[in-house]
Amino acid sequence: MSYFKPFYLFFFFPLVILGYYLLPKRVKPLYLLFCSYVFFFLISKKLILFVFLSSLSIYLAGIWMKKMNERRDCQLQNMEKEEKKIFKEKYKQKKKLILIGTILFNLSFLFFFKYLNFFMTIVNKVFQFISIDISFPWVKRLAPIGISFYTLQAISYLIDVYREKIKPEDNLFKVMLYLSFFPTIMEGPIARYTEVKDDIYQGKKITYHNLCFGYQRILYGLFKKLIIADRLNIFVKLAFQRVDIYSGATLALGVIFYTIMLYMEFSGTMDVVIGSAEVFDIKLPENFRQPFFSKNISEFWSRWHITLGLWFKDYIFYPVSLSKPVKKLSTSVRKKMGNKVSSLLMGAIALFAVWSLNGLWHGAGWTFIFFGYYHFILILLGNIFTPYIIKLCEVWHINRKSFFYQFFQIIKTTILVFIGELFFKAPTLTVAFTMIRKIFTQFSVSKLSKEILKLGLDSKDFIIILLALLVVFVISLFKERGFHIRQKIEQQPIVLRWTLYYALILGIVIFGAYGPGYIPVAPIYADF
Amino acid sequence: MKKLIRVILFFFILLFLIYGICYLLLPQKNIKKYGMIKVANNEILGEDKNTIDSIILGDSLVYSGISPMDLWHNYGYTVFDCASEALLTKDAYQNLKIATDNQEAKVVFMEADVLFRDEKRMPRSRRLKLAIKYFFPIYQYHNNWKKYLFSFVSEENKDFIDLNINKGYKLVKSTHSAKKKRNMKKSNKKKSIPTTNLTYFDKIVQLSKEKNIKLILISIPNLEKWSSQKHNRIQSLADLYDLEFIDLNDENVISIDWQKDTRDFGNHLNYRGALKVTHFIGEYLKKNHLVMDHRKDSSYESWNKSDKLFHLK
Repeated sequence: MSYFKPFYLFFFFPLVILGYYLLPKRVKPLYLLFCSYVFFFLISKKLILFVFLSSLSIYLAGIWMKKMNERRDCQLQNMEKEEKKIFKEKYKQKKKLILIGTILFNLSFLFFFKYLNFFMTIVNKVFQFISIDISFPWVKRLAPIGISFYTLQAISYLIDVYREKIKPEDNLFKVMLYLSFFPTIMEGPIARYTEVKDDIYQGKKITYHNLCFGYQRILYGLFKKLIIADRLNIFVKLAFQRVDIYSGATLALGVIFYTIMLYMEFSGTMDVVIGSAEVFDIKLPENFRQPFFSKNISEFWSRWHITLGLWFKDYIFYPVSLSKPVKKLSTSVRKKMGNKVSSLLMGAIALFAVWSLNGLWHGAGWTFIFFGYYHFILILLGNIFTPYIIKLCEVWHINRKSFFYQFFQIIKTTILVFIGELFFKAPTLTVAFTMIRKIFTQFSVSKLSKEILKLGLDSKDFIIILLALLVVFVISLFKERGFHIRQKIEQQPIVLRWTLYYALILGIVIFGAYGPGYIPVAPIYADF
Repeated sequence: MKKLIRVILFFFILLFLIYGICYLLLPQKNIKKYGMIKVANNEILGEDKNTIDSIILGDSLVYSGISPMDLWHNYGYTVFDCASEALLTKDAYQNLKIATDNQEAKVVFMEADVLFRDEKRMPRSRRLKLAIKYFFPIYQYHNNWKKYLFSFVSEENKDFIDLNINKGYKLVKSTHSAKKKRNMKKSNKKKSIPTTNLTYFDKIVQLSKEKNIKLILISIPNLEKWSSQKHNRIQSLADLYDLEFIDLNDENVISIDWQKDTRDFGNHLNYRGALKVTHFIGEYLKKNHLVMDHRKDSSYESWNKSDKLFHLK
């Protein structure tokens, strides 16, 4: 089941809404938990045990840390200042052990389901290289759905409890709901406990306003996924399957289409997810903020998969850059080479850790690892050269705020993103480099015109794609300018409003790429 | 209360609009007689009266395994795949009833695997999908907008909105090789057929006799589902009714290369595999003089148009 399957849209979700609407307030959160576990069970069957184990582990660890805090605070009352410091440090160490133990417990599931085969392949290659006759078999394992997402949520909860940023939850059911809430379980967003706890446990009423707003958002997601992403999927699949036969220009178009498809699929899913939660008056964090208006790669990653970026920032970047060894190194570099180099180095080390893990999080494969380091290098180069570029612009009297300069920056960033996504999609690094070689050495527009209609889409499909992209672009532009389009629609007379809704629904029904002859894009991020 | 009425009204108008659009995009022929839903779910109703000589009843194995346009191209026979996903025997009976109401078919092939499908064991998700397809015919026909819009890009003949160019066949050219070889162990056992299916099969036999149609049982090559037990059961059923049974899963009858002839790891045939089965059917019909070559008949001109369009794909 995915959020775009008829079973979810026409059966599961309406049934959840109906039940939630009819039940009394105090039972509503429990009902949501029940529905979330049913949702999880329908997809992952007995693997539901793992999401329960994760919930139980972080719940118990939270309670344990809370008890330790209480005992510590009680004992601290009668102590001297110096004694207090030693005592606090002792408790901190004990809490750290609980934290690390529970994180490792949760990561072990992720490692087992997602990474074991990959690492076994590496070990096998090493054994083969040093002529040891041992080989670990590759075992197909079906991972619990959304394991990469809920594990990160679990870790964020634990660390926040450890840092005493949040109070641990006393009710196991609430922790279970936080990790398994059905709209977020498959593809995020990776919500922090503080972001959702007030909404999720209150059992708020379903109002007409929320129902309309929620469904509005769901429809927009369906528009992006069914009209654009699923249609482009036909072209993308063939282009990436037959790298050997297509010309460089066709492959370049395949890469551009893949990037658009990925964005439409993932952001469309987020629209359905956030819209679904909105029906229950639960506000989830946004995962996208018009990423293709970014002027550099750092900015792109602060607009694309925002919750993942923030997770890495809070739980990897800052802890690494503020860790004792990095601080020590930075101090010694500062003495020898100055402040600038020292802060660049500190940032580079933390960035390296972030992008190594980011690449690996996206998948257990060399293409994903390369994808991570590609972005690491781009951001690092950006950090190094930006001051020089600013100076150069001043010397050459280039207005960095002018439309043309900013447009150039956006185009440059978009091209860099396309190249990154090429590595992301390619099955192997060899295929990825072959594609790059062909794009740069066999770029022929005449061949493109011959091949373009042979990849499953006809001219009318292309017109629909262009028109739909234009709609998304205009909406994005409004959002970028701070214009609240949904509120504006709400203020319109009912006839205009309903006409708009009908146009959107019928547009999806008629022009959607579903039914015979179409293969929908599988939920890409649900596999991560 | 006011808001509830508003919600109900919204969905009522929406349903009206969806069915209005359905009406525009669906084949218009026979809608008055059979209604939109029946026309949508029985593509054969888009064909001219008494033009189809042979009907093939079945499920996805049929619409993946027999290409009527190649039978037309090579033999001039008018054959139609009356097939839909996970077809039940009772629906096969209904399909035959509707098809023979408009067509004087001479031969009907019935795919044998359909008889083993138990409605009670069908997963709920599949039932829901089938129900949506049934009650919202736009699911199958929404792409007909291409025949109305943007004609400045490419002109498609609007008349073809009534015709299924593929004649029920679903063209898939891609290959996903099977990961295993055929391992059909010989057995004397027979797989059971649900009683409801036997009742409806009996009705199919009676209807065929009534309409003077030659009914033939056929099994389309399938690596995953077919077994020796199924063969035995169908053979005994064919003997009981004195029908012919052609088992194309028998490697001595037809040779399928499961590395090249399947689109989904041995479940269904791709176009390459379908051509082999189609050739067998064509030769069988020719050898037994069951149907006629219509290629030179001007009243079948639309088949020549469909042929051109089909072989462009």
